[in-house]
Amino acid sequence: MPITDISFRRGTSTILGTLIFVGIMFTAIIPMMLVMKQVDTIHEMRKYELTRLDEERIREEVYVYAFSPPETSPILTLRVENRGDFVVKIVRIWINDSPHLVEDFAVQPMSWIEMQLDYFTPILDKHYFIKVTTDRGSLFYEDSGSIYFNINGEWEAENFAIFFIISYQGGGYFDVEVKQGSDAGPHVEGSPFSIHKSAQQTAFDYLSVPAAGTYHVKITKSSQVIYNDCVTIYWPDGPRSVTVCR
Amino acid sequence: MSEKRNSRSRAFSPVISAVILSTVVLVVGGAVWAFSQGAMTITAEDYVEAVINMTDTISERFIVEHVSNNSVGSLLYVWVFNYGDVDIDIKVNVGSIIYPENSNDWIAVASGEMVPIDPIEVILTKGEELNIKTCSRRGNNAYYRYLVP
Repeated sequence: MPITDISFRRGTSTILGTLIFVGIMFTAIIPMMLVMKQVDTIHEMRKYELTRLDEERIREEVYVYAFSPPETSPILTLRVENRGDFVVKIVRIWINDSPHLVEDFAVQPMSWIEMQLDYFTPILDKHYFIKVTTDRGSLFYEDSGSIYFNINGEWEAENFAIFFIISYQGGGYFDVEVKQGSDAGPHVEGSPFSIHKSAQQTAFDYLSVPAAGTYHVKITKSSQVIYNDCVTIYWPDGPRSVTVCR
Repeated sequence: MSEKRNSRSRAFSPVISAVILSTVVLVVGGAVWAFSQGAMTITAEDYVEAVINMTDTISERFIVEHVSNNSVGSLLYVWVFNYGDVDIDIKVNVGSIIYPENSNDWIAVASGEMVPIDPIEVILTKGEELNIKTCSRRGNNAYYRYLVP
């Protein structure tokens, strides 16, 4: 009888103890672990999103040009070129120290949008620095640094340039010749010159030119001509620079 | 007679003891259960709060978007843009100057907003290079190098 008694009592306690343990497991520990796991997942997702956003921000490639076509002068026209892979949304345009909010200014990849800055009245004999801000927090400055509104009420460019973007297959040296007017014209100061490109990357370079107008550009690689054409800087009817891509 | 009483008491006491033992197990078990539930709830809440705070901290994104000064070089103007998803509170450091000065005062910048900071009184000299640091309450920083024109 005592033996049966002890085993009965031990059995009851064991069952009750086990039930309580299982109850604690299911009502306290497991929900806690699930909540922790869920919040960890949210954290990881957020980290992933932020990494992606930061990467997109780094890869934003925007060029800003300001010019004033004679028919609308002195109103500036702003051209924003998106040469990146993502849509770029411009949220603000800075003219010197004044921010101007813009709405619905999204530039698709590999395209450009022009906007007339008709809300801005320039002051004679003053330099203007223009930059734009994107919604990803990037700042892009006007291509040539600044533009000058002279005492005659005309816009003056600081400098003119031809930009070169070479993504041609393979690496090595690319010889560049820039002549004024046509192939028969004189070389521009600084021409001819070479651009070095590594096999896997795109090469960038530029050459300052004395004025707006037409220039003949010839690019050769190991005596093979890969670009042979004229480019024109239309200032003040267009940007002060032109880009040659090959 | 005596044998009968003995056998009765022997039959009665195991039931009592089993009831008492079960009650004790239930009471102690219930207390442990209640304590563990409370403890686990508090632990889970603390953990969630800590992770959410950490997520907010890593989500902060802001820049010093523009800096300028007045013509006599006595005031500095700073614009801060919060392009992240969370609202932030910031302070601006220019050299040894901290703005706002009071440690409890912060400048609130809502998500997606650009805020012009009140002019900061400084003594600027032409050509001087300033390092402007903005720090958030959560401990993130953004820097801007400004050359006084």
